[in-house]
Amino acid sequence: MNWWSRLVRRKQLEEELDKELRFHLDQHADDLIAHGSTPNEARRQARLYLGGPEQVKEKCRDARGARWLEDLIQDLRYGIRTLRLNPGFAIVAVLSLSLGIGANTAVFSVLCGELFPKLSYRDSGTLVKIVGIADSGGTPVRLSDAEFRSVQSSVDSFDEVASASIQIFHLTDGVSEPERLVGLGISPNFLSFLGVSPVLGRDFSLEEGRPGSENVAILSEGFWRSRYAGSRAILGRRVTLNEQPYTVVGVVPSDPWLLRDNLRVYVPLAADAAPASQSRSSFIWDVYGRLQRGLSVTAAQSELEAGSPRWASSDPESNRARRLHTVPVVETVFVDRAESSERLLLLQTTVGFVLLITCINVGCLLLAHATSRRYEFALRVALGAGRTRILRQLMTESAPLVALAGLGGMLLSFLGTRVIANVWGFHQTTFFDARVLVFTSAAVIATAILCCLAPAYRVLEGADEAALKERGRAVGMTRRSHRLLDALVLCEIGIALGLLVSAGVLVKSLGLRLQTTPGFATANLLLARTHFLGEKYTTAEARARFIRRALDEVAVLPGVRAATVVDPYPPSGEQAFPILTAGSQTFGEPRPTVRHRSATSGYFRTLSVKVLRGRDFSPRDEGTEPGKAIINEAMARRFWSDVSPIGRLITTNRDGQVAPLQVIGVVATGDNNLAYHPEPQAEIVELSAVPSEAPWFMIRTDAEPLQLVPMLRQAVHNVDPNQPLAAFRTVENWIAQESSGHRALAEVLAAFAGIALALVAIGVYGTLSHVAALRRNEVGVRIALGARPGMIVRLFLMKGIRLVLIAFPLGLVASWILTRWMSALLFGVGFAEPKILVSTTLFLISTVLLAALGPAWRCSRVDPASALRAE
Amino acid sequence: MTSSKSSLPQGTLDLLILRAVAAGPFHGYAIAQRLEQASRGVVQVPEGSLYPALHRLENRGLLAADWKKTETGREAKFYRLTRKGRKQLETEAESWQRLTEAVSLILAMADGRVK
Repeated sequence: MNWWSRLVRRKQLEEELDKELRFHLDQHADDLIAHGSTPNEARRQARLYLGGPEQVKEKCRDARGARWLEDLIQDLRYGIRTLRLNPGFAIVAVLSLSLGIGANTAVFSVLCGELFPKLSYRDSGTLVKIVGIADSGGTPVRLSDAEFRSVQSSVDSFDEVASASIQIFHLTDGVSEPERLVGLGISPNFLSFLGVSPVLGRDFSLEEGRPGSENVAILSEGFWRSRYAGSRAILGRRVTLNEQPYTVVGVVPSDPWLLRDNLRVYVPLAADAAPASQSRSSFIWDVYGRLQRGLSVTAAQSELEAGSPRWASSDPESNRARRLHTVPVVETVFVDRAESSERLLLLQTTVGFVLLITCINVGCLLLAHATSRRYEFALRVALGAGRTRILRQLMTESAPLVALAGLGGMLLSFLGTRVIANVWGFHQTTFFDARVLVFTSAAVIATAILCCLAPAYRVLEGADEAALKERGRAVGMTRRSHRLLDALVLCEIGIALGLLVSAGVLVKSLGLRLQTTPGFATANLLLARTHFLGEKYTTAEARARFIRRALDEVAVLPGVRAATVVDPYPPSGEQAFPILTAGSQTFGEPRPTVRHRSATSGYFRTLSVKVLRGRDFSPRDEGTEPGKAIINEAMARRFWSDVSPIGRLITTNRDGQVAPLQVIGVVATGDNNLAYHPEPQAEIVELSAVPSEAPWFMIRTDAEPLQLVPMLRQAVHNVDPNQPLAAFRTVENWIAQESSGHRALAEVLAAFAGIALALVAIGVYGTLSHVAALRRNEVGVRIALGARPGMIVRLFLMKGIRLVLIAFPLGLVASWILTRWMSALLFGVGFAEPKILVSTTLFLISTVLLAALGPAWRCSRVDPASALRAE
Repeated sequence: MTSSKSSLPQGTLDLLILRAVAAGPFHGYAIAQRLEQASRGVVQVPEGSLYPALHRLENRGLLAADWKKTETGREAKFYRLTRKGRKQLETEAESWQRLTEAVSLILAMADGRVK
């Protein structure tokens, strides 16, 4: 008989066991009667001789092989029955556990995809990126034409080498307005190198991209769907890219790594066919290699290192030597990894805390449940059940609970992953990942163990004769089980406090950040970008003429107060403009840097910023030598603390040349909280007829700025019908968008803090209800002795307040852990802001009091007579 | 029943049961009787351990069992040795023999302390 048939024939086996033992007893009794005993005495003797029938049966069951499985199924049935008897408890427990597990898994999926991306390219583990790094250090930079060709022809470590270069295209196709597109010029083998195949049409052939071959292009799937409505007629269609005719031959899918969805069009580009202006010394190529089978990254690295003196061009900035390096592609695909990983770790810690609270909560409920079952377990021990058997039963009983919660958690995590990825702009990577499954299972199992441990511990030390004896009276709680419950609730409250405090700190920091204006009125400022490309705009004069004429057209539009062309637009901009000399001071390395923007003469009028000293730009200043600039007060203070900066010269480094600028005015310093700089930043605005190759129109309007877009388009169209405008936005939108990450984080954290608060309320309510039930007799005695209901209620409420106060240091620790992950987002607040601490603690106390009120009230209404009668 | 009963050394119950069943098949009550009679009442199976032992031996494949009618016409579970059980009995009996001989030899040491 194998274990399976034993399991299936369980009932029959039980009957047989019973029959066998009965036969033995009868036979023995018959013998004794035959020897002269009375029937009663004979049966008693036989029974004594055999031993207690239930204990013998239990031992016989143990002797059977499949015992564990039988028990498992029995306990599972029992567990499910218990859950069905207690639907309220079941629903609360399953929901809160699902939430905890689901949120954890969702955040972990995103975290996993972000920090350890799994690229879907062919043998992605063998893909490396080749970068050039100057000996003096610095960030990895792209390769030049010559370097790419050397790597392609001379390096043996790679099976195949491919390259890509970011390009800007002006697309005109007669379908709708001309459009500015970001795309890639790629070596013809690039897509097949990655193992990406077109969803429609074909890949490039290796000859394409050479000079003289026909111009062909491949579109991204997203762009094809949005601009051409996914029509198959796109194949063979002729479009104009940068004034050249191209034939569309294929459509490829986007991915979150090298073919991101902001890349709209791909054209074949051979290294030697790059535009003349971008050849030799310009570093435009992202170069990728596929390692030969079995070759390590280090081996390829040493070959590159050895060949670097011959292959690498010199560093154009300083003329210092460069070396080529290999980096696994996996490590290069996310630029913003450091920042997002910090946020994700913050999220992960938060949801980890929430899961912990959930576990403690369910543990508390189970513990209370198990404590009231002490008598049942003590009885079973007395009837011959082993203690491990009971421990196992407790574990198995909570299994249906945890299984349901795991299932719910899975569902929630699928939804949650999408929500986090979409709302929060994380890269959408593959959702199903074995690692995530492992994590979820681990979370579920850990939850199960955590949930069971406390009650099991309680029962194992409590299932003794004392519990049996106590049966006469209501089973009182021992001091120890009291303390355990209190400790669990304390942990819970502490963690919730930590979450509340950190959410509060984040919200406050966001408020501080958005409160201060960037130094000008942000309302009604429209932005639109144009990009100079092609033969027509190779000269600065042509560009200046276009800008001047377009600004003239825009200025007369109804509803326009002022307009300018600027790059970068305020309040964005990096502090990266090096100052070589300022007045009589000369600076060595490292040079001081300030924030810089170039603008046409209408800039300050458009912003409505007054010039405090000196004068504003005038159109006559354009093209004069030296160039004219206006600085803010912060910069004036930094370089000329005691003398007037007006008329002084500043020199900077521009294209390797020293360029002088003359300060003609000083404006007030705007606050720059958006970039989380606690100090106001120095800024210089340089007058320029052509601020950059891709400058922004910035227009101050009377009313809702975006309504002006069609008129603006028309105005620019009047000047040059083929010059596209793109990226319409308002300064206000941009600021909101810039702080959206912070806002989303604050919202998510607040949401989790809310969940934690709700869980704590549930936990406190459940625990106190249980305590109240157990203290019924005591309260009955108190009331009989003259205590008023108010005193009983106060007893419970004081306990609640005490719990919160004791949990306070724990809350500080939790909030310290959480705020460590958001140091970059904290602006002007610390992790233990007194106001926030006090208000959250009060908030928590009131929540706990609210939760305690119900049980306390019920307990104070106890009828002393009935409570004492139960004694 | 005699009043002077010896407690069984640990682990010998299985061996005794195997031996008692060897002439089988017998039902549980008969096995208990045979053990007691063969030892002239000295050995009594500890209370409550006969049936767990029988089931354990059955589970290990040393015993097999069938339900059969007794002389009195009642149905009872009859145990008998399997081939594996017989082999086990032989080896265990042999090693027991060796052990008891060795123990007797030691106890009979000629230094006169114990007679």
